[in-house]
Formats: sequence, C-alpha cells, structure tokens
Amino acid sequence: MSLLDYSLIKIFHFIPYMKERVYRTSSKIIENILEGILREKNKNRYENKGIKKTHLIKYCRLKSELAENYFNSLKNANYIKIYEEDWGQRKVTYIDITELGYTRYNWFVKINTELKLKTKKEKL
Amino acid sequence: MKLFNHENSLETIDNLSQNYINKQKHFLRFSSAFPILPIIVNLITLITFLMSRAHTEFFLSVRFLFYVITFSFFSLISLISIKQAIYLRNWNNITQEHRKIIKTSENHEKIVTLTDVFYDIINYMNLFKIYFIILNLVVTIYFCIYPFIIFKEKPKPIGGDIRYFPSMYFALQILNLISFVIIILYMIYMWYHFLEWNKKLKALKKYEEEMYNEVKKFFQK
Repeated sequence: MSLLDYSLIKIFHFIPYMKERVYRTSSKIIENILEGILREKNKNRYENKGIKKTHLIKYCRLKSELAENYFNSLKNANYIKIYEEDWGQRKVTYIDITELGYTRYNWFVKINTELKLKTKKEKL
Repeated sequence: MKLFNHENSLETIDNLSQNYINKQKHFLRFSSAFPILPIIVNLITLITFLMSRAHTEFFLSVRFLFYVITFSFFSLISLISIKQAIYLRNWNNITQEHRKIIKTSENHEKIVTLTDVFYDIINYMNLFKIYFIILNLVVTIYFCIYPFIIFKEKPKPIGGDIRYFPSMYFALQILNLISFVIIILYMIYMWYHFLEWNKKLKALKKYEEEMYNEVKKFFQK
C-alpha cells in the first residue's frame, strides 16, 4: 500500500466522524434554547407555562451537564427563569423565557431575516 | 422593547423567516444560473480554438496568456455556480426538514431548528466571502486585460484561425461581447448581495458579542 492510498483511507475514515460532530458556538446553543422555549410556549399557549427541562435538553441536543451549565448562566443573565411544580410526589422543573430573553431572540431573528437593523431610537 | 406582538409572535417569526428563506433560495438559484450563457459562449470559443490549426503557434504567443486568464476566470465562475447549486440543494433539504417540524407536532428523530437553518447559511456566507475575494482578484485581472484584447489585439474570440468563416467569427464576437456585459451585470448583482450579507454578518457579530458579554460572567468552568 502506497503512502497516498494510506492517507486517502485515513481521510475517508475520518469524514463520517467529522460530519457527526459539528462544533456549535455558544451563541447558537443559547438561541436554540430560547427557540425551544418559545416553540413549546406556542404549542401550549393557554397554559402559559414554559418547557419541561428534559424536553428542552432533547430539543437542544445537549448533554445534561452542559445543559445545566447553560441554563444556570442564562438564568443568572435573566434570559430565562427556572421553577419547579409538583407532579404527584415528584417535582417537575420548568423553564420559561423572560422579557429580556424574548427581546434577544427577536433581535436574532431580525438580524437574520435582514430587516432594517437600526433606527435612531433603537440600538442593538 | 417589542419588535413583534406577543400574540402570534412565533407565527410572525416563522412567516418572516420563511420569506427570508425563499429570498435566499431565489438568490442562490438565480446566481447559479446567471452566468450560464457566458460560460457556454466561452466553451464554444475554446472548442473553436482547439479545432483550429493555428493553435500550435498560438501557445507560444503572449495573447495565449490572456486567454488562460479568461478561461481560468470562467472556470472559477463555473465552480462558484456549481457550489451555489450544491449548497442550495443541501439547504433546501434542511429547510424542508424544519418546515416538517413546524407543521407537525409529532416527535421527530432529527430536530432541525430555525437557529440551525440560520446558522447553516451564515456558515455558507463566511465561506462565500473567501470565494468572492478570489473571484474579485481574478475579475480585476480579467477586466484589465479585456480592453487590451479589444483595442490592441483586435477582438478575436478564443478560436485562432476562423477568419475563413466571417459570419461565424462575427457571431462569436457578438456573443463574447454579450457575455462580457452579462458578466458585468453578474458582478454587480453579486456585489450587492455580498454587501448585504456582510452587513448582516457584522450586525450578527456585534449581537453575539453583546450576548456573550451578558452571559459569559455566569459560565462555570
């Protein structure tokens, strides 16, 4: 086997691995979290509840430890609020979006849909 | 500060994003189809050149260099068009997957969020920036040599010795001129979109920095 063949095999061996593990930036993860909450809220709009923590972790495709870190930091930054509710003997954790989180997600959509980005009064 | 009404806010966001997605798809479709005529014209002229008997001496002349630049320029445009078409196909699959998730409330194995859709095209925009800079470098050289070909070398298309067929020669000249005009229009169109995308990327970067500053102090390491 020549060196070229060997290197080509190595490259093709790594391609599926590279496709599966796509690096996500923290801002992308944060936007995913905010979107997940909004989508769930929209589904159950009359209940006025947030999303169950486990559902949000699944929606954002995160590991629970990393998700916990993100939820705590977003809570401290006042983007989301976390509260618990009784469900029989158990407790279910819900996550809801705050006004600030909602504004940030709207800004993100506004930038991406290339709406007029700035007016005199509004600044990013 | 409210940008959208709270009621039906997600519907508004989805509608806005759908309009934007359609707009981008239209751009990708149009920009990949735009330079087809100039590419075909240059392929014809290349074929006539290869078929002519004069090309053996022609390889040694200075004018050959001009045609190499012209040909590389059109090859680059073709590559970019193909890349745009491939990306359009991939992105189309992603957006369709996302639409399915919005329309049906069933559990999907693969969750494609609106954020994923947006970030996918953002990554492409960053890649496109590099292509566009290379394209502009080549186009500058091409535009610099084109007047020289017209005024100094007589406007002969790539196709050495076809002066024995005046009508064909004339037709090729006209086609080359038309393709040149189309290329100018194409470049204007691409520049317009490039500036729009650049503006968006800058705004997004600023937004991400601001958000990062708000959140980063609470991250636990």
